[in-house]
Amino acid sequence: MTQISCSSNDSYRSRFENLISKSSQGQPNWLKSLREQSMNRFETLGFPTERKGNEEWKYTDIKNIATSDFLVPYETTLPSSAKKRLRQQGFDKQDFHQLVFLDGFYSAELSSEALQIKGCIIGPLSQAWRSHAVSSSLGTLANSEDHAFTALNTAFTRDGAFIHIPANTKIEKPINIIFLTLEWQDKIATHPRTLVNVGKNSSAIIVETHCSTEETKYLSNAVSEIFLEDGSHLDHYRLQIHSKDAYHIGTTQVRLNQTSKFKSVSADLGGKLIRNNLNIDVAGENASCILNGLYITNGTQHVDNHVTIDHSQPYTNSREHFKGILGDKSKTAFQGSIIIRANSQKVDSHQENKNLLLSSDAEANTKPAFWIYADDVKCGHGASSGELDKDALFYLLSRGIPEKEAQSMLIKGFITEIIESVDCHTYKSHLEDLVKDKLSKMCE
Amino acid sequence: MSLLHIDNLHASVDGKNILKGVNLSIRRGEVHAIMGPNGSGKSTLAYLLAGKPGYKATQGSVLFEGHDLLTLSPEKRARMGMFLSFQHPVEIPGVRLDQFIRAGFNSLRQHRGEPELDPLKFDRVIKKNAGMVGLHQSMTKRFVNMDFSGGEKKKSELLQMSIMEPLLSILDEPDSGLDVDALRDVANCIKQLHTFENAVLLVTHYQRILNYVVPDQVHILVDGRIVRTGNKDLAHDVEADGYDKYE
Ligand SMILES: Nc1ncnc2c1ncn2[C@@H]1O[C@H](COP(=O)(O)OP(=O)(O)O)[C@@H](O)[C@H]1O
Ligand SMILES: [Mg+2]
Repeated sequence: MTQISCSSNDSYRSRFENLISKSSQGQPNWLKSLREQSMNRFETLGFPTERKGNEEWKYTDIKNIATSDFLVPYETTLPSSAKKRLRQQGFDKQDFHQLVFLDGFYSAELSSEALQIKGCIIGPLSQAWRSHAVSSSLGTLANSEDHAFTALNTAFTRDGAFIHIPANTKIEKPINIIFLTLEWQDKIATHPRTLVNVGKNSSAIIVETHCSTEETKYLSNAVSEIFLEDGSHLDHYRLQIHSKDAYHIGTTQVRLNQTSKFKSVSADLGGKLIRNNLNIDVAGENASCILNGLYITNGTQHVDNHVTIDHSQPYTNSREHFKGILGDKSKTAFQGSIIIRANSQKVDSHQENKNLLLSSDAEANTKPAFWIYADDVKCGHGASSGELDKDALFYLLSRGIPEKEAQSMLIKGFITEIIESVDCHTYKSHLEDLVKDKLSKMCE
Repeated sequence: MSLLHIDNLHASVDGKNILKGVNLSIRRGEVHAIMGPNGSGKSTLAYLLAGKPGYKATQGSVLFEGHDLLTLSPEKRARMGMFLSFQHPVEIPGVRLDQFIRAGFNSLRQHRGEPELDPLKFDRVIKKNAGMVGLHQSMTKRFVNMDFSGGEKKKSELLQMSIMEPLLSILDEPDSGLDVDALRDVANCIKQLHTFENAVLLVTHYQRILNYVVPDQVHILVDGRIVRTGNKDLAHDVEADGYDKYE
């Protein structure tokens, strides 16, 4: 085991040196040294393949990621397949600010014109390395110190979305970020990075899609850092519809200042092995977050949602609601940690994870964990996993509804409340279609 | 010919014998009431007729319009014109009441060789019928029975009945848990839906609903057997005297 990760680290080091020599021209010194530090840190940490006593990775074995040799592309092309895929995943550019990244590289041709008015920036990070807003915040929230994948992303990232919204600004059009992986002969790795800052009393909606053109094997290791200033609102809708052979590690790190509101609705439909880390620092009084998620798995898919909410201030609240539908031999995990610090009185927090098992070979794991150091708080949780409700099924049948249709109504109904929590009509109906598609494939 | 003919029906649930020889015959145009103490097997009979899994007939037969009912799937029974109003309707998260009714309604139409009703036309039908059963139309946009009051659940069952237009409606305690006004609304609604063409089998605990929906026959079910059959006066007698003397 040690040998494997060692040789793999060596190849990461040589890829890193290559990357630096080829692409760091024009990049500011702070970025070069941040990359270097992160690479060093990654080498020290290694991949978290050791799972004994490692609660963080209890349910997810990333050995196949650690032992695979993923190429790092230096550039990419724009094949027609990308345009075709985008017609499926992109929305009307009239209604959205669209940012498209191919294999982690910004595609100006496929994106809306970068917006830069009144201090508002919606564009690629690569055009903003020299901006103070980037240098002062990139890497300050996402933790490379303890997390190998975040360190790896920081060392290798080429580009990603940069969204900077000044104070008192409402971004009317939703922002649609698409990370698209193209077809390659070899397995590749992409490390997209997103940085979002929503200014005081400002608001926005972000849709973030991770997808590919073909059913190829690759690693997508994405990191997003999101800052919400006082009184701001952000809805973040994350859609993961990777290839059925893809590995995806997605880390979203959020900090909420006073009275800010964050809503996240994640949907995991694709991929072979998926690990999402969603970490929320509820770091201002009266801040609140709603974290919803759905996952629909079949075959041997593996989806692990790891959510940590740190309530470091009083009068904050959080709602977590994750629901999964599992078929075949798929396996899922929901690990939800809630920390309520000593001075954080009147925190109100609730966590819920429910799973619907369509196959006796599927496995849903739920592991809540609470660290509560304040006494005047509300903190509830619930978890369940089971088959379709037989009484509900009989109710539908007794009205003449054919059995297949009745089952699919109940299965779809199981996650409807998660879909309904999306507040952007276009994205909601898009998500509904994708869910319907996947479920109909599973219930064939 | 009877619409429903039950002959010496014995039935068990989870291996426990509940029905011990039920005989009952209902013709179109009739209303029959079944009364009986708690646990006597009224709901078991209703579920068995509707085809609930786990409810097994061990002896006897049931004919619906001359067909052997017991071999048919629940959805087939519904398409032939059988309807059960549940004593405790289940809550179904994520499925809207109007979509649920439309799915059932369209499968009945399909069975009769009629085209599906388009959503707009169906919307008009459900709106009109919701008004008739006294259910606010906005309730039909909610998830099936989720956060409905007891009365709203019963009305929702009647709304379904009014749209499905069944030949035989088995109403399992449509009056339980209702206040006086709601009881009157529900009873009047049942009366309105009953015609010479269809039949009602009404399971109840209380005589009161039978003042509105006047039964042709009243059956007393005790310990899985019909121990007495009579006219509407029998309902008054049991309400006054209780079931003890039949046990
Ligand atoms: N699923 C079941 N498993 C075992 N026994 C049951 C089940 N359902 C009902 N019973 C029993 O069957 C008998 C009749 O119940 P039920 O038909 O509900 O009576 P009623 O509707 O007349 O009150 C009762 O003794 C009840 O406990
Ligand atoms: Mg009963």
